[in-house]
Amino acid sequence: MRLYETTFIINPQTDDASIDRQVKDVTDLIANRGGEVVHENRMGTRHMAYAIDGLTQGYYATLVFKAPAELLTSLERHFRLGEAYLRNLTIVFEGDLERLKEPREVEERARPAPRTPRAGRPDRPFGRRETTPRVPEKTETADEQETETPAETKPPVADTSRDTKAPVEPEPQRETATDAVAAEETKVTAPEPEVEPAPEPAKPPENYPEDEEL
Amino acid sequence: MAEMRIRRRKICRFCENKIDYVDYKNDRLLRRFVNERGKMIPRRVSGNCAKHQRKLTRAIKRARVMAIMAFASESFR
Repeated sequence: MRLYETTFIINPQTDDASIDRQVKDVTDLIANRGGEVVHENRMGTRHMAYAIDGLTQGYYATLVFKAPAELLTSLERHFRLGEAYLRNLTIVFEGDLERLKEPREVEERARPAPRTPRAGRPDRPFGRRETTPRVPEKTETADEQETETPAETKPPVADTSRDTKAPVEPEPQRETATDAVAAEETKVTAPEPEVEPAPEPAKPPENYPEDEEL
Repeated sequence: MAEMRIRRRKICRFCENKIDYVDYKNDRLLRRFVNERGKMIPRRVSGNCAKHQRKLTRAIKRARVMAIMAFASESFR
């Protein structure tokens, strides 16, 4: 018996009862064939990054379960035959079961579909990435710390020396980089190892010269 | 890269934060390693170590399949 994780997408246009039924079908299938569902995470209706079957939104659900290997073929078959399942992905569970139990992730994912395209909001659901550079939001210091993580955005020295096309924008941020990094280091040892805590206003990391494809 | 410059040594942020598992469902994290057009950022730029870059790649590709991230997105040209 191994731990597996399966994620699937259901057509959200069906009513809630049938969505529940579809999810229940899967959980029942697992339970009836000698498996045990350990964790269920219904991520709800989200925007998808691209349209599937003409739909732009989908209802996402994830199950973590223990199962004998034989169950997987039945599970795959169930997904393949079921018309309500747009996509599915079953993998060996690699995460941490204890961390799963925390409600943090579910709360975070309870965001609705995007409101306005160019609101410049710090977090965003699935969907097409905004392509216009957003004004970096400096409302919270946590945001700045997040964007100033060294590995992510422009290395200060290199960027200026090659800076023919890069916008002036990065400059003011760099002054706070050292402060932010120092603060960031203390923040790193804080509860969540995942780089999630603050909403990200991060500019799309396209400013490094190597990636300019203009 | 003929010019000699001192580039600050980047630390792999996964190693730094001791993250071992890169979740393909975590689009917020994954998006940091993808450029405007949806293409993955090379390791020499992102500063990731080889091990985590591999995990990240796997996660991004899974996310793409599950429509959590795009394979390619438009950009204004």
